[in-house]
Amino acid sequence: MSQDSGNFEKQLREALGREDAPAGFAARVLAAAAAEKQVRVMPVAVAKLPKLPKQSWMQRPFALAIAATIAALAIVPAVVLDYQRREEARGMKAKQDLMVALSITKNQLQQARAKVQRSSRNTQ
Amino acid sequence: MMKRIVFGIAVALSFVPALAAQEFDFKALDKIGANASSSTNITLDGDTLRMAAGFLGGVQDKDAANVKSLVANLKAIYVRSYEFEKPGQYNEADLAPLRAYLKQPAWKAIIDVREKQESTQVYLLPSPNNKLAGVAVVSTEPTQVTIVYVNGTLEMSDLQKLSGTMGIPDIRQLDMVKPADGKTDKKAK
Repeated sequence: MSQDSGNFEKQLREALGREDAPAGFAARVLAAAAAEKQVRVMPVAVAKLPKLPKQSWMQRPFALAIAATIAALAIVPAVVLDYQRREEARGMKAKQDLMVALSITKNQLQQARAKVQRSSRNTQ
Repeated sequence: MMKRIVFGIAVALSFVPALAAQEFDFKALDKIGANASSSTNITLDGDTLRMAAGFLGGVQDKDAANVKSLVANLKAIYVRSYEFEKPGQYNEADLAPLRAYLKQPAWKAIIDVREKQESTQVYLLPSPNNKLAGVAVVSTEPTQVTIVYVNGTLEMSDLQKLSGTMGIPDIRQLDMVKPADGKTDKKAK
């Protein structure tokens, strides 16, 4: 019994005893740590993602629609106002021409009537 | 057979006013004004007449209402008036195309006054229902030529409006500043 317990103690001491690291162990650990650092700085997964084509704002229909709406809102009132102004100027010019035309017509008809009256008086 | 002939004549006669009413090309008169010291060229087509009428006074303005009713059925108004510094600066022959146009049977000369070197003719284009389809005035003096052609449906009463004082201002009251073609730039005397 005492011999058995003596063997056991011996085995236990051997198992728990200090054992030196194998040769080159420290160097391998340092190399692994350095490699891990590099992976953190530039993860392989991100680095390998395919690059998406860069879209300009003009290729985005929604942005384009908003831009067009803003442009229209800015331009339409000015165009309408300009059109109204031109139409009014045309109308005023047409009115002036009409009054001149009618006045000349009236003047000519009155002169013709006066000439007829004058010539009929002369014949009498 | 007789019926067909009568029908044919009726159809032909119905076209006479239409043919007479065909537009006269006023470009044919451009030569007259070549030496003019001042000229007034006004061409108002149907759309322009209606636009002008829209710019006349409101419903309560009686004069404006008269003018509006006058131009309501007009197709066009043409006025050509030329003044010359000296006699002999226009050729009477340049008026020949217009005189030929107004000599068509559909036109009736109601006034034809010739005095020395002046002449004035007033022509009417009668249309059915005692209406007129046009009025033309040709007046020549040694230093002045005036042509007026009113094209469109007119009542006889409209003729009185045209020659009277109802709604139409006197020529002396108007500043004749650059009408239609912008040639004239003078004050009415």
